[in-house]
Formats: sequence, structure tokens, C-alpha cells
Amino acid sequence: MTWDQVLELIKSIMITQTGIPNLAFKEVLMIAIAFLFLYLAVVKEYEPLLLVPIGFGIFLVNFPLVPLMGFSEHGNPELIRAFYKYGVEWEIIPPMIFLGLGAMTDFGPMIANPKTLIVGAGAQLGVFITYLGTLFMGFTLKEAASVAIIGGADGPTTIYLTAKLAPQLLGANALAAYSYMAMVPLIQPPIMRMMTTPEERKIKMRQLRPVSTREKILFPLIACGLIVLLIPAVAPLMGMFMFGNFMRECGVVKRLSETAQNSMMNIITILLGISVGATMQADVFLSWKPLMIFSLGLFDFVVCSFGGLLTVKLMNRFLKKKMNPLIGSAGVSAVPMAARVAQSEGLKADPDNWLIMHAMGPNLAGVIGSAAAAGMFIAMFN
Amino acid sequence: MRIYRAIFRSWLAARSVGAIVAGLMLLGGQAGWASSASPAFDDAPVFTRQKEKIEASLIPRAKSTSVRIAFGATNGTLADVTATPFEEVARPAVDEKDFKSGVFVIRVADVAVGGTAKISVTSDFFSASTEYWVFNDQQAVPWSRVDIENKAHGNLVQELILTVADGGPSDADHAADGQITVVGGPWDSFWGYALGTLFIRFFGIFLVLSVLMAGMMVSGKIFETVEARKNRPACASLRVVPGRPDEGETGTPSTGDTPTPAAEKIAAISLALHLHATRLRAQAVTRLDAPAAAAWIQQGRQRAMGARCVSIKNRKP
Repeated sequence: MTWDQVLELIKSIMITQTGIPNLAFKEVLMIAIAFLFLYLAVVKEYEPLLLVPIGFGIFLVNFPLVPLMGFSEHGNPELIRAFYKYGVEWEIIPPMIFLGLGAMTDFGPMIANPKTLIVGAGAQLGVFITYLGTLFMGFTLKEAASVAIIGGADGPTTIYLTAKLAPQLLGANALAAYSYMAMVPLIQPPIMRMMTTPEERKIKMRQLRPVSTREKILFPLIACGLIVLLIPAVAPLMGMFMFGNFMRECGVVKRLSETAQNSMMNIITILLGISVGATMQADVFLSWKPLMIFSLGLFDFVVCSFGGLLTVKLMNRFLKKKMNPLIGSAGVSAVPMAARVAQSEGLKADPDNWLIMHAMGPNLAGVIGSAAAAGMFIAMFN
Repeated sequence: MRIYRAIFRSWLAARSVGAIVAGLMLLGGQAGWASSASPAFDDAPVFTRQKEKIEASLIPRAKSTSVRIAFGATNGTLADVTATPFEEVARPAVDEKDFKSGVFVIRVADVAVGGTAKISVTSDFFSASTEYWVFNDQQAVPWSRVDIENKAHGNLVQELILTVADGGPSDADHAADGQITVVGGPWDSFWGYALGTLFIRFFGIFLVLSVLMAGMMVSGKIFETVEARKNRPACASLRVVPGRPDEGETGTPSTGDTPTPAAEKIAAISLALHLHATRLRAQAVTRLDAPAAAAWIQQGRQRAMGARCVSIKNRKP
């Protein structure tokens, strides 16, 4: 073997078997974006449970020639592609997350004050307004629906709907949804202060009635039955959500409930996060659409918060016992962050005004409302 | 003004992820999804002939599931139906979004020269307000709405019937030659549909959650009543505690003769109520709102008192 042949071989190996010569500027840029999200998750602790796997997924998949998101020569999906295909494309992971969320949720505050369900509906205002705005921006109907649902501030719902209607936007939509959910304490307080007077913020709400265990056990059956009857398209999400809650409340399957809340939820979160992150390859992600999605998502979120506050103010016109309008902003899901924000704003107005349990009602209603909105969109395209 | 400043400060402080990502994306901005224009279909339509009719199966851009459109003709033979890309017939006056089923080229043969043929286009994807627009580039205004008969059948199926004259303005081959070619498609106002359906669906969410709310209110009342009834015997049994018959609380017969299974619990409750009642006599009720107590303690006290009041209130005289 001559020296030239050795050099030729080394050159060939370098080009075909290492990533160095194939690393382009756009990939480097995406890796920088991955670092940004990892920084926000690790240092700032913004939704770390999701942003760590998402950030690492972005980081991993943007190296050239990595066998992660493609298909083998036999047509089998590569590692993360398999997670994505069977978890997200097959629409398994988001309903499983809903199962875990259901097992974690105590519907007591909502059952004690069912009027808060209306707040959850009003907080979907932004979803529908943004849908129209997104259409004006030149997105297709299905893309517009998947972007609009970001305002519901419900990550699994956003992922479920986007995977169903516009999978090409999955990365950007999921990232926008989780980013804005993490920024609830920054986004909502100015809107809350703008929409309410100091007197309104001081309104004290009546103590919630105690909710019996029997009532809590029957709630998932009643709620699931009614919602699925009215919007069958939402059955995968709502069915799993209520199933998880039923396991929690019935008290006879503690092992299953604990598994759904902990181990299963953790495993699924890892698979979901890394799959979503891996969809953000430079060729797909670096365009004007994610930029638009982030802007529209923010607008959506603001209008949803506004819608929740407005709904409480409107309801107060007809109610004898007034509700504190601050709990309206918790109508966007973002459980329990949005309720905590309502609580802290309430305390600022009156240090003796404890709103957290009252705000949990609209907060949980927001989860149901955003799932219902997703169901409406799915039904629209069926 | 302070509020606006607060908003501005929040945004500055937030240095939102969106803004940072946006900046980075602008730096590297390359058009992955360069164009927002996309074909009317997710997949090309598949045409199948069934005797005199031709059926198109397609997934329109506005749907996730496939729809079927059946074409037929009278006073002539339906020769062929094909789909045509909208770009070939695009004009500024029309919007592709309004043609949600796409644009078709329908050819009818064996028409009497200079005569008319009736073309029917049937689907459950159409509504009572669906129109039919045809394209003829020989006309001053190439796209025009044609008069159609919109007939409703069962199962939400609508039939659009066009009457086209051989060599007439809707005949794209411009000649009275016994053959008719119609280029066009069913037309629905995109924005009308989008706004209408959104309005309905937004209020649909209110409706769904209102139904749930009503269901919960009814079930809540039932449960409250059941719980109150369940608690009543326990409260009534308090009357048998020796030496402390509650004045003014009469009603349910004494169960003192029968030992209850939760006797210890009842004794504990009666002791707690006794201590509570004697304390209330000694101190003013306003003590509950004493400023020294934390809000959570106050709420707990009020809740305990509320529960006690409810159980007393619900007793039958």
C-alpha cells in the first residue's frame, strides 16, 4: 500500500465515517440552541423535566451522520425515530401522560365549586382567536389548529394535536408550549393587574365545601361519560385522564396509581422529551415558521389569560357571591403554576386572602377545556 | 402607566425563550418551509369508474379523513374526470382556499351539437351553501360562479347539478362540437367556514363544560344530602351523653339503647363539641377573626365551625 493510498483511505474515512467535514453552520447553530435550552432548564430551572430531555434531543440529533432519526437500510427506525414513531406518531405517549396527570390530580377544588368550569372554557378564547390569526399568516388549517392550542398551556394536548394534524411543527409547538408554561409567573401578573382593580383583587371567596371520597370516586366516571359523549374525538386524552384519576380516588389500586404517577410518568417524559427534541433538526427547524409559532404562541397565551379573567368578571355580574377575578387567569392549564400565580397576586393585594384552592378549580377546568378544544379541532378535520 | 411599565419590565426581565430562539433563527434563517402554498389535497385524488359515474377519493387539505365525490352526466356520456393543479388556473380574483375539494376537469362526450348537458357532482363534503365555479380563459372574467341546483339527499349528502351548454361560456373547449369540457370546482367561502365553525366550536366548549358543571352541581347536591343524612344519626346520638342534653335540639329518636359501632369516635366528637361550646360561651365569637391567628388557622377554625353548623342545621325538628 502506497503512502497516497493510505492518505486516500484516511480521507475517505474522514468524509464518510466521521461527522467533522459534514458539520455545517446550521447544525452548529442548532447545537447552540440546544445549549440555550439546557441552560434554561439547568440554571434557571424552567420546566427542567421537559426541557432537559428536549434540549439533549436537539443537541444529539444535530450532529451529522448520527443514526438516530432515520431508518436503517432494512427500513427499521433508528433509536430515537423508534421512540418517535411508536410513541408520538402512534399517539401513545400524550394519552399516557394524561393517565399520569389524572393519577396526580385532586379534583376536589373543582368539584366543590363547579362554576369554575366556565372559567376553564372562557380561557380557551385565545385558542380560537389565534387560530384565525395563524390562518391570516398563511398557515394551513391543520397547522393553525396545532399552533392555536399552545395557548391552552397544556403540553401533552399540544403534542397530541400537533402529532395528529401537523407533525412537521411538533418540535416548535412543543417547545413553545413548554417554554410559555414555564414563564407563567412572568407573563400573567401584568395582565392580571391590568384587568383587575385593587378592590376586585381583595375579594375573599367563601370557604370550599368538603368533598367526600365517594364524590371524588364518581367524578371521573360522570365527567368522562359526559365529555366523551359530547366530544368523542377527545376520548383518548380524557379517557386516560379520568382513568388515572379513578385509579387514584378508588383507593384499591394504590400500586397502579403510584406507578402511573411516578415510574411510568418519568419514563414517558424521558421518551417524549427526547423524541420531541430530536424532531428539531436544522433542516426542518431553521425557518421562519418556528419564529412565527413562538410569537403566535405568546399572543395566544396572553389572550387565553385575558379570556379567563374576563370570564370571571362577567360571571361576577350574575353571581351573588363574587369570585376573585385573579383566579380567572388560572383557567389556562399550566397546573399548578397558574394557580400559584393567582395566589401570589391575591396575597399582594391582601395578605390574608388565600386563593390557591379556589384557583385550582379553574386550573383543572383549563386542562379539561384545552383537551375539549383539541377534541373540537380533531372533530373539525374528521 | 405603572402597569405598562410593569409589563415592559417583565418582558425585559423575561428575555423570553421565544425572543432568543427567534434571534438565533433569524441569524441562521433558511427557508425550510419556504412557501405557505400547498396543494388542496394531502394525496392526489384517486378516480374510479363505476358504470356511468366516476368517483374521486381524496383527502382534502382541510380534512384528516378521505372524502368521496361522485361525478355523473345526463344528455351525454361522462368521458373523463381529472384533477388539475390550482396553479394552472390561478387568478388574483380567486383564492385557492375557497376550493377545498380542489379543481376538476370534467369531460362529457356525445352531447347534441350546441345542446346542453347536466353534470352532477355529489358528496357529503358539500353543504347547502356550496357553489360551483368554472374557469374559462376565453372570458373577460375567467372565473365565474355558475347557476346550479343544490339538492339535499339523506345523510348530509348534497348534489350539485350544473347545466352546461356545448360551446357556451362554461365550456372550456370553446366549440360547439358535441363535447363539453368543464374546468372548475365546488366553492365554499373559506373565511366564512373558518369563522362560523370557530364560533360554533368555542361556544361548544362552553356548552360541554356547562353540561359538566350542571351534572356536577346536581351530583354535588345529592352527595351533600346523602352525607348530611349519614351524619345525622351520629349527631343525634350525642343527645344520650349523660348530663348534657342539648337544649332545643330535638327530633330523631334516641339511639342510646343500641350501642353504635363507632362509640369511641362519637364520644370523642361529643367531647370536642362540648369543649368547643363551653369555650364559645366564655369568649366572644369574634375571637375567630383574631388578627394574631394565621389565615390558614382561621380557615381551619371556620371550616370546623361550618361543618358543625351544617350538621345541626340539617337535623329534622
